[in-house]
Amino acid sequence: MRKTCCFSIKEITKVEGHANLDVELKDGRVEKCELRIYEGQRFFEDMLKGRHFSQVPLIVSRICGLCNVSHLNTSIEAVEKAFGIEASRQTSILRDLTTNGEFLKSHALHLFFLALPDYLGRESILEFSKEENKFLHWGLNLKKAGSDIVRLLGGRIYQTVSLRPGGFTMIPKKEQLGKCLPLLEKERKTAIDAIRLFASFSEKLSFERKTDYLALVDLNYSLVKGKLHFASGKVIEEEDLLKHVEEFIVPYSNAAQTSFEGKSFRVGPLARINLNKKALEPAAQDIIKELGLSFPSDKVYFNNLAQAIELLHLIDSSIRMIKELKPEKEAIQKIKPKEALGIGVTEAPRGTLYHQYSFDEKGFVKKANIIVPTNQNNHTIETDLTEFIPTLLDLPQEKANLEIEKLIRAYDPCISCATHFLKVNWKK
Amino acid sequence: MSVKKVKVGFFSLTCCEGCEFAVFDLEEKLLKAFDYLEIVESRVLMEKIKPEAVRLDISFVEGSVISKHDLDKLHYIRKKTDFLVALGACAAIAGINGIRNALPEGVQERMKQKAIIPVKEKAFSLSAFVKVDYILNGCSVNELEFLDFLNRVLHGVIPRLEEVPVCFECKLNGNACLLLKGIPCLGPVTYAGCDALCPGQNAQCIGCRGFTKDANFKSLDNLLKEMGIGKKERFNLFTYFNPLPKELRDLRGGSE
Repeated sequence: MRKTCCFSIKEITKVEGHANLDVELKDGRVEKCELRIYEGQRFFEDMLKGRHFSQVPLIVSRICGLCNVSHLNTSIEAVEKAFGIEASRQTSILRDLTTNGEFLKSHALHLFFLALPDYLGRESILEFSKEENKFLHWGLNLKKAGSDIVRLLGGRIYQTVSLRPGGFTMIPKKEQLGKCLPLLEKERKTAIDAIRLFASFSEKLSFERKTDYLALVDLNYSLVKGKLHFASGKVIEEEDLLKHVEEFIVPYSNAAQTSFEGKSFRVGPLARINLNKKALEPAAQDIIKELGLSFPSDKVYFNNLAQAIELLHLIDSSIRMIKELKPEKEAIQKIKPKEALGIGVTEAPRGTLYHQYSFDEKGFVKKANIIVPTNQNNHTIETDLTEFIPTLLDLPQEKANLEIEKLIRAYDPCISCATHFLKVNWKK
Repeated sequence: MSVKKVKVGFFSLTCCEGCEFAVFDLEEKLLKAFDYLEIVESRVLMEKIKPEAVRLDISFVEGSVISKHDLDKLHYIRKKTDFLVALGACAAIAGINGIRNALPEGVQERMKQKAIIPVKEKAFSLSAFVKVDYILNGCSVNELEFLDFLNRVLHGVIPRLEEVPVCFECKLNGNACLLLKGIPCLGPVTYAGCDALCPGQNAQCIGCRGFTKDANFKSLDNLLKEMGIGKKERFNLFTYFNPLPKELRDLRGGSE
C-alpha cells in the first residue's frame, strides 16, 4: 500500500447488510476513514408514527432478520413500561429463553460461517478443506440448538410470531420444551471446543486499542434487564441512556453514530464479558480460568472469542431454565393505553439496543427513537481503523483490504439494523 | 450420472435479510439440494462479487427497491437471469417498507430531501420495474414453500401460485376462527401458503403474503367496525404489509 493514497473497499462481504469503506492516507497517516453504509434508509421511526401500540413490536422486529427477537423484546419492554404492565414471572423466563435461542443462532452463524474463514485464511466456507468442514457441522449444530428454541417459543425462526406486549399468544408444553434438551446437552461440548478453537487464534489476528465499553449488567447475566455500566465507571439507569450517549449523523453514511462524553465506545459480546464476566455460568468462568484468558481485554478479535464463551454460557443457562420451567396456560394481559413515554433497553447479540416511544392517550405512536448496537460500534470501528491501517503499509493493497475487512467483520456489524433510522421533520 | 447443475444466485435489496437467512436455515435439507444446484452468488456467503458475465438460471431477490442503488442492482440481476424469483414480502409487495407509502403526503417528499444517499419517495416491489417470474411471499418467507418450489423447478415444473385465502388453511388445520373470538384478523383477504402459521398460534394474520385479488375488503372492514375497532386502528391493520385497498380509501386520515 502506498503511504499517500486513497482507496475504497466496495461491498464488504460476509456481514449483514451493505457497506463500503473509503480511506485517505497521507504520509502513512489516516486523514479520512469513512464507513459508508449505503443500504437504503428505512425510516422506521417515521413509519411508526400514528401506529397502534399493538403493532409496534411486530413492525420494528422487521428492522432485522437476525435479531428480530431482540427488537421484539426491547419494543415490548418499552410498550409495557409506558402503560404500566409488569410481565409475569413465566413470561419473563420465556422471553429470556427465546433470547438465549436467538443469541445461540446468531453467534453460531457469525462465528462459523462469516468469521471463521478469516482465521483459517479462506475466502469463504465454500473453500474449507475436508478437515475444516467439520467446523461447519459445529456451527450448524450449535445454530440448530438455538433455532429449535426460537421455533418452539416464537413460532418460527425468522420474524417470530408469539411474543407480544402482555405475554405470549402460545405457550409450549413441558414435554415440547424437553425436546430441546438433548441437543443443548450434546452441543455443550461443541461450545467448549469452539472456545478452545477461537482462543488458539489469539496470536493469528490481533489488534488492540484501549477504549470504553457499554453493556447492560445484571447479577444473572440477564440480556433483558439490569443497569447500564460503562467500563470507565459510570453506572446509569436504562431510561437515562440518552442523557449520556449522544447520537449524531455523519454526512457520508446512511447510519447514525454515537459517542459517550465525546468518545467512541464498544458494545457487544466483548463489552458484556469485560463488564460482567462474574455473572457468567460457572462452566464458562472455569474455561476462562483454565485457558488463562484475561478479561477485561481491549483486543478487538476477542469479540469473537467472547461470542464463543457466550455460546457455552447460553447453553448452560438455557438448560437450567428449561429444567426449571413448568409452563402453565396464561392469557395475555389486557393493556389500557394512556398518554405516556416508554423506554426499553436490552442486550441484542451485537450489543445494547434502545427503543423509546411516546404514545398519545389512545395508544398511537407520537414519536419513536431507536438506537441499535451497530450505530454505536460504527464510530469505534472507524477509530480502530485509523490506528490499524497504518500498520498495514507493508502489505500489497489487496491484502491490506482483506485485513481491514477482517477487523470490521470481527464486530459482527448488522447493517440492516443500522439503517433503520432517519428522522424527518414533520410539519405540525 | 453427472447432472448439469442449476446456477443460482441470492441477492438482497433493502430489507432485514431474514428471508435469505431463513432459506439457509434449511441446513441439511438445503445441502441435499446442492447435488443439483450451485450457488454462484451470495454476498452473505462469499468474498467476491462475480462478474456480470456469469449467467444465472435462477435468481432469488429479497428486499424492496427504495434507492437508485437498489434499482441499478435489480436491472443488473434481471439482465443476467433466466428466472427471477421475488423472495419474501419486501420484494413481492414492498411489505413492511411499504408502510412509508401510507404516510401523509409531504412527509415522503421531505424524506427524499433529507436522505443522505438518494432514495425514492416510495418503497417499491420488484415487479414495479422488472418482469418477476415467480413470487415466494411472506414475512419471513416460508422455507418449506421455498424447498417445494426448488423441487418442482429442478424437475422442470413451474409451480402454480396458491390462490386461496388463509381461512382455507385454518379450516384444513382445524384452527378456531380468531374473528369469532373477537381478534381482528386479515386471514379472509390474505393469500394462503403459510399453513396458517400465525392463526395456528392464536395470533392474528397481518397480511404478509399479500391481499387476494378477489378479496371483499368492505365486508371485512364492516365486521371489524362492528367489533368496535376504530377507524385509525383499521387503517393501521390494512396497511401493515399492503397498500390501502382502494375500496377502503375512507379509512385514510381517520382520527378515532
